Amino acid sequence: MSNYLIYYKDEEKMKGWLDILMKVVKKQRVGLVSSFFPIIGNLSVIENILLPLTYHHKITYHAALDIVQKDMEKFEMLDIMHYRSNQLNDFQKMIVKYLQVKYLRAEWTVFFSPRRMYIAEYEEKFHQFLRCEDLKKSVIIDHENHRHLFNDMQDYTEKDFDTWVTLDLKTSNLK
Amino acid sequence: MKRLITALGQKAIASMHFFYGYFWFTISFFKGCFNPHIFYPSVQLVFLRQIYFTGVQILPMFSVVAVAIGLALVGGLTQYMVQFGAQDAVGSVLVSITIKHLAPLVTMILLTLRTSTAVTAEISLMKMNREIETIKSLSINPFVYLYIPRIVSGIVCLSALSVIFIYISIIGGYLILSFNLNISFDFLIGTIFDAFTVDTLLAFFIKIALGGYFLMSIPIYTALETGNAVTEIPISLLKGMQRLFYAIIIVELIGTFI
Repeated sequence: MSNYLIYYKDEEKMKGWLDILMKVVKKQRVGLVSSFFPIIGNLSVIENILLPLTYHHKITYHAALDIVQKDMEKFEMLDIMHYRSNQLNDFQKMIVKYLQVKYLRAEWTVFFSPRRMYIAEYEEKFHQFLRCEDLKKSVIIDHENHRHLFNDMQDYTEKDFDTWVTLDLKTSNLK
Repeated sequence: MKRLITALGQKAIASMHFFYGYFWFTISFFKGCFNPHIFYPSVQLVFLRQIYFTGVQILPMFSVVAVAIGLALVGGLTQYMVQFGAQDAVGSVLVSITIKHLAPLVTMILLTLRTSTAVTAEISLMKMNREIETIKSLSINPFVYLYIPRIVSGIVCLSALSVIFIYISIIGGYLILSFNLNISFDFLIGTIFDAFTVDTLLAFFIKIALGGYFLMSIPIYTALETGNAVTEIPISLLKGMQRLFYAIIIVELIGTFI
């Protein structure tokens, strides 16, 4: 398992990293779960989740629905699968983004500033989510001030962004 | 004088900037057409939905407009031509006016009012809300997923609706005024087919292809120029519609010269 925590000190640096990751996305599958990339407003929850699956693979809508059914049940989203993004709470929006990335079948899942995606009341839910999900290669990028929120995460080790990009993504720094 | 020259210069630069950007947009459109993902279910779904919004939902209003124009044209014009003993020229006049000019023009104007405005607003909002960035972050080419299905549906719907317009206006116009016309339906259809030439068909198809492409691509391209403020959406809408009406005039002129 390669799970990393990366911290940034200022917003400018974070925006620079986001730009670098957007360049990486063009070359390899890196899934970005971030409030900077909202779910698509004119698609329902299920259409948002199925979008990467039905775009990248020649799979019918119904076959794709069967694949994601289990996750929809697990995250208690079956009842809201036809909702639009404005009917979801912050945590549900984050789960939809995560499922988009999961079915993108990205090698790396990057939670970019997760604390920006939900309000404090979902903090414990987010940690529970991280503990329950079998994330083989994931990265949480957050502000240094939020370091204390991830202190108890045994599976995650702290890493430098440039090292991760160069060694793990095997991409020379795209600055 | 100096102000006038400055204003003209600004206009010229803005126009050149638009043509340059639009040229590369068109190149990207043709490149995207060879992307295998356009045959995948997600893109097909966008295409079918756009066909429904553009070509199916408009049908009731469109039929009424076609019948009204049919009444004025087929009924009125034919009646006058028969009165003046020019019934042999009815076919060529109807082919020239209805098929070559009116059907593509009226359909383009109705689709501009109904669909192009909606597409401009939709893409502007997506751009402003960073939803296009979301699509890119999922390794999805926005040209393939968002723009190509809309542009192709514009071409398909413009051709289908223009053909429907011709049928409804000619048949509807004749049937409603048949009691008043001294020519049979067989004669009317016969003269129309006799007046049909390759040039007419060519002009019709060129106008449909160009018009359909402009109908969606100009609003999309203009929407992509929208900034991050909500106030820029109506400005984009206005700019897009202005550009589209110039494009319609160009299409009409091309059709006239063929």
